[in-house]
Amino acid sequence: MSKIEDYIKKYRKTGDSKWFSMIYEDTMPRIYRYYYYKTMQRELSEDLTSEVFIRVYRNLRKTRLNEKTFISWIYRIAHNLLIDHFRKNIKMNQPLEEFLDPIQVSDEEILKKESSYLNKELDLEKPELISAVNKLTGLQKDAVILRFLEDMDYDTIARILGKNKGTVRGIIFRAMERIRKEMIAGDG
Amino acid sequence: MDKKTQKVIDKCHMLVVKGYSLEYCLQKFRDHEREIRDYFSIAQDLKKLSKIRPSKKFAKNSLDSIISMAKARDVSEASSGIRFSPKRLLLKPAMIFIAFVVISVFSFAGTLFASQESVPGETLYPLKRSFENFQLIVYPEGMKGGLHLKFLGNRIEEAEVLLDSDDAVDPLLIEELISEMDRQYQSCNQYNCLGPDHEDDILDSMNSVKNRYRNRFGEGTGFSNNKSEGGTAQNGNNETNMNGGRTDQGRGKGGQGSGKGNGR
Repeated sequence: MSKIEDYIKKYRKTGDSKWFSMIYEDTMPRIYRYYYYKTMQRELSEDLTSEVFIRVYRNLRKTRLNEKTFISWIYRIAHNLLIDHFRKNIKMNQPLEEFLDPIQVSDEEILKKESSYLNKELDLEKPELISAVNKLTGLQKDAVILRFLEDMDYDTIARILGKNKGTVRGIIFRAMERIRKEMIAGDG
Repeated sequence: MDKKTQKVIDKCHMLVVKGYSLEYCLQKFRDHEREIRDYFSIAQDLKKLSKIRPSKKFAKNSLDSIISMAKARDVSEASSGIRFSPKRLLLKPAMIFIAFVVISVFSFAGTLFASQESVPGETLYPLKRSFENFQLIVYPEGMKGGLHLKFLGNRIEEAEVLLDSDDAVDPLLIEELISEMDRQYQSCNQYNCLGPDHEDDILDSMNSVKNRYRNRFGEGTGFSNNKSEGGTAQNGNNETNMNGGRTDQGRGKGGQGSGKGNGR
């Protein structure tokens, strides 16, 4: 049994917040990262992360989850919450699909500010990587974050995104190709 | 990127996860060296992005506020009663209606079943009789003779139960039963539902009830016995033969008059 599965089991059994805090420490940074790269806004990412864990706290004891299903479950909560957030902030004349699919950070000011923050924080050798990632579609960005930042296998990503394994694989390779081209264009 | 290159990259990814070096992989798949290098270089750069963390302040303080907010929401939902859910709101009346119908059907069927064992004077007896009348209305003509025979059997049985009872029994109830027995017998005859052997048994049973009634409640009861073996009615007080038994049909077996009231 994995560490997180053990925490879930103990928390479900005892309801002791100590076990919930273990789960939180383990998974909170992942959810934060997911939101951060989706929105490129630190404060908003923290708010959304908190909201995810409020929902997890209220519902975890009612579930029967192992590690894999827990991870899928929590990312689904995160994804749905992000959609709700954008739905609330969407302009009336803007189709939801148009807004959701790219979920790109199109504000140049934000992008510049966050890119310099990231370069400083992470000491990136290729600063153009951030803008290349931000040019991916929403789905491509999700898949890349889960695959390369969170080290997930195709099966888990497929479960989270509600796609089949082959589709996820295709999305990831197309995203990598796009990043490569964007970085070459950025270099040039 | 073609499918073959994608497969090679996936294999390399597996090898690296298992602990092999990238160089080993590049040597193994020399034809795809450039694509493998590009892919792993980007993957390595992307991996660095995972080092980003929320602010220390958030990491330190968020958990307590999350737990307290979650608890507050639980409390507010509990105090506001049932959570609003359109699906639940739509389903609820439908479920209540279905439950009501199911419970009603089962209760009625159960009561009806229980009423089949009832005798006059009991609460469920009117239901039993109503159900019999209902059956007479809905059954096809060809089956009504059988129904009358069955109801005649029921009346005989009920009368016997009352006569066997040690408790005080209202004689009027038994009188009613005897009258009903005669009516059912007559109706049964109209449908020719009795064979000669069967008829003798039925007549014997009916006469036995009448005799037992007379024995228990006195002679002046005014019931005439039905002829069972070609004899005449034993009780000569009232030979009105109101029910027009087999005598009326010229076969010498009738005389089952229910001329009650003579002795009461």
